[in-house]
Amino acid sequence: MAIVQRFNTPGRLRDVSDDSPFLDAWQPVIDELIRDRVNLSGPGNSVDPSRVGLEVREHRTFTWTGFPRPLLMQHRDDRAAAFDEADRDRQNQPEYLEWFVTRTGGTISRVEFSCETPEYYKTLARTEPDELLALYKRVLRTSAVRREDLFTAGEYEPKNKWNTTKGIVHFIMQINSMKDLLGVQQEVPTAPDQDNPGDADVDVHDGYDPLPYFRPTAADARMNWDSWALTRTGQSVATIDAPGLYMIDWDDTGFEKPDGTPVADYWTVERGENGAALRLRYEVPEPEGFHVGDIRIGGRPVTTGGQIAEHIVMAAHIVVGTEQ
Amino acid sequence: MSTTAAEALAALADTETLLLGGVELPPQPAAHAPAPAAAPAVAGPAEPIYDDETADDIQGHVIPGFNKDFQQFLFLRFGDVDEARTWLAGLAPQVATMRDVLGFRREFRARRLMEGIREPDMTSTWLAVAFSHRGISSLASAEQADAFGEESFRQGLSARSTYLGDATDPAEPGHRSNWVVGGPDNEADALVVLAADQPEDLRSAVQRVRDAAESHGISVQFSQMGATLPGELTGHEHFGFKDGISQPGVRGRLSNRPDDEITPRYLDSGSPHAKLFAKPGQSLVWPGQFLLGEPRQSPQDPVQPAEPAANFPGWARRGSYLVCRRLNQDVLAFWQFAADAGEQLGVSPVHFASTLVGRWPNGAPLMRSPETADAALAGDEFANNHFLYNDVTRPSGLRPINGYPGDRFANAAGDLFAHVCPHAAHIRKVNPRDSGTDFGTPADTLLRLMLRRGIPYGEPIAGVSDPSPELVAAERGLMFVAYMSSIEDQFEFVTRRWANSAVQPNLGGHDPVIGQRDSRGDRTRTVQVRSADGELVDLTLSREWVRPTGGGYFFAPPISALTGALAGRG
Repeated sequence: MAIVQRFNTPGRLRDVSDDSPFLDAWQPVIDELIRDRVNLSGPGNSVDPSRVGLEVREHRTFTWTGFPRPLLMQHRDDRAAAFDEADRDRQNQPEYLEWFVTRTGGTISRVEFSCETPEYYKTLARTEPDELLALYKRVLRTSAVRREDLFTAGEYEPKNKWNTTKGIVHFIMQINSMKDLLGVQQEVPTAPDQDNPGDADVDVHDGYDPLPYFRPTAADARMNWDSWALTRTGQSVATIDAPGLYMIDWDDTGFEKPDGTPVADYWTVERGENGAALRLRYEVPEPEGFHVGDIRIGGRPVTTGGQIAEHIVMAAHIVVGTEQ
Repeated sequence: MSTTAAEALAALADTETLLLGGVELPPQPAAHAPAPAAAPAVAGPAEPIYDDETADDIQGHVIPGFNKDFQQFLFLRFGDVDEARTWLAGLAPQVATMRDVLGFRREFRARRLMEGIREPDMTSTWLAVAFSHRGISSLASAEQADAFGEESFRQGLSARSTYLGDATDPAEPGHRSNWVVGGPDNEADALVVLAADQPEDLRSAVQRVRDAAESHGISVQFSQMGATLPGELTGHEHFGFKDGISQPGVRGRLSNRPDDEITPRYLDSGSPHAKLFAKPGQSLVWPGQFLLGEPRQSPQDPVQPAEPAANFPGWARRGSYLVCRRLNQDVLAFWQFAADAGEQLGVSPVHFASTLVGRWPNGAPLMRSPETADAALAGDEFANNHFLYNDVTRPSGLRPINGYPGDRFANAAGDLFAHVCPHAAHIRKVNPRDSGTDFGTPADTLLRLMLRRGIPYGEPIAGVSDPSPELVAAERGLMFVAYMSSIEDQFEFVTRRWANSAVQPNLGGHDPVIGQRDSRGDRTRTVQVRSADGELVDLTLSREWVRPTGGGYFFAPPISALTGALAGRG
């Protein structure tokens, strides 16, 4: 018997009422992204938990770092360049974590992080446009958002100004999406050919065999390597319900106030919960008398949001078991 | 300390290791012997050749490492700069070169395996020297020191201390303000490492260096002797575990002569990963991961080299960053925790302690010997490091080695869910091998490896029955020393992102051996282990048993720089 009857929303968030048409519309969105069964590496498969019965034996959490690994590799000897480039454009933030920096007088005063997918918001726009508008206002903490800001000729515009130049609500980077998350989890190892990737299967016995692997992001490699190792044991894997991406941990060890003492807890989970945040804000409360940009991390001043993102750990979760 | 814990600690004296004997390694050329060129046994990208001139310019402590039983660390502070430069000119000819140390090591190793003993009758005394950013500023210039692109080096260890999870409360003994050396007010200019096979040789060498330094107005800020543990615990650290088994194998050759690689290759060309490993479990790593300006590891491809770094002054090429951490070890606290947690889980203290490390005290890996400390496995250097974590490990496929009986031990089974070796186990944390990590594939993990050159300091208590109160109270620990080409991408990465994290590289707790954590004053660390029935159990580490007490970030220059740029002749 299938272990999922109806896919839940990421973080099991309820932005709509229980009888909302959104909830019925959400199921096919996910369903379309998961194939019934894909043979990955070895005898095990990636399966759709709403269609294939699975006797779950283990849970597995994939973790990776929120700051873009490709930039750190591209600028191996100039980390400042990597941080600058990451902040310059959200298209440079491909690890399923995007952020928006607010400055006050040139100093960073707030960094907001999101790992919400465009699919969720598009579905909301299609089924509950009023709720979408309300959600934007709630998330951005402003009443200035207007319906026409979010829609163009009746179509939801993910790259509207409130989700680009004036703030962040959900992913806009082209490979940050539910489609990409679930797609990566269904990929098979391919011949390691930089010029012609993605064609032939390879004979894989262990974690060294799929090398070289030319996709530079940490997230893709993390999910591929773990999924492939799991299915080589003969077990099958499936996304947990609810499918989604989360910020599982954020580490401010070594963050120091201007006086050199450790910072207090300046993190606020705005959507989701501790250990499974979908939206996170880092901002120093006004009574403290200084800004995020006045904090030093390991002795270095915070001049980019990426320096905070570097200390956020992302996660996706799957279940592992025997097909029934 | 409970009776159970005390007995477990005392029983370490009985640690057994069956060394290989009668093994005749394939011969490597003597360091000076001319011979015709030959193709390498395993085809792959051409590796750099370090001819006599370059091999004499690289410090032997960096590659291949001293690995001596007795060492002294002298942390120095300069007085008059011209005097310091004069002292340095006199020191330069005494610095051990890669070529000298490699030649000694080849012969030593061949005799050890042939004779089946730990210590062949060969001796030498060696010296290495490294400088802090402050020291280079004095000797060369501030401009030259600032030309090092490694920001962590420029900042120094003290400035990075809390980022590494060290205590933020000055009242805590591990806080940087309490360090014996390397704190905010007592950073060294230079570090001299002396190493010898006999204590008396070391003593006289140290005296000579001290006399010379002091005659040039240089003060010894702090001096620390290190020594291996005695008897069966030779090569072990103070908790009682064999240390330094798994070191990366540096790619590169001394010449085109057959088998003249820096790291000997023992895998047959038909072995599954002959291009990746020098011997079973020893990853091959491009030298630029340790020597500035050399071909380094590709982030995606473990076999092909990537472009060398260029973010350093030209004279620093083939030098290496040295990270030194003086780590105090509370051996009794560690074993008390092992006894208490072992009792809770229904396993012996030594078994539980071994799950925290990932190896038994004699060095046998849990992955190949989950239930017992197999003495023959521990002593077999072609088997004791041959294991993966995620998949079943295939036989290694060695070249013929006369006298070696072959790897007779059960292959490691896959342990994806950490039933045998916890994700938090020290050796799994700091080198996840074949696993994916939070930064990607095993190719990325090769970017994180360091050349470790540590040695214990202080009187041992492991293996001692009924220790005196004085011995119990005595300070002991590890002089952690490691070389690398990027402090931030290697030492700091492994420390902060992996050892100090409960969720990286894999979810399962903090490194229970070296992990540090100070989140707004909260130093709680946890570790996930399996109970006898396979259930996950979360344990809170009750006390801290490793505390930093000093150290520094240094740069070990090429030897030519000692009489060049660092002598003010840049």
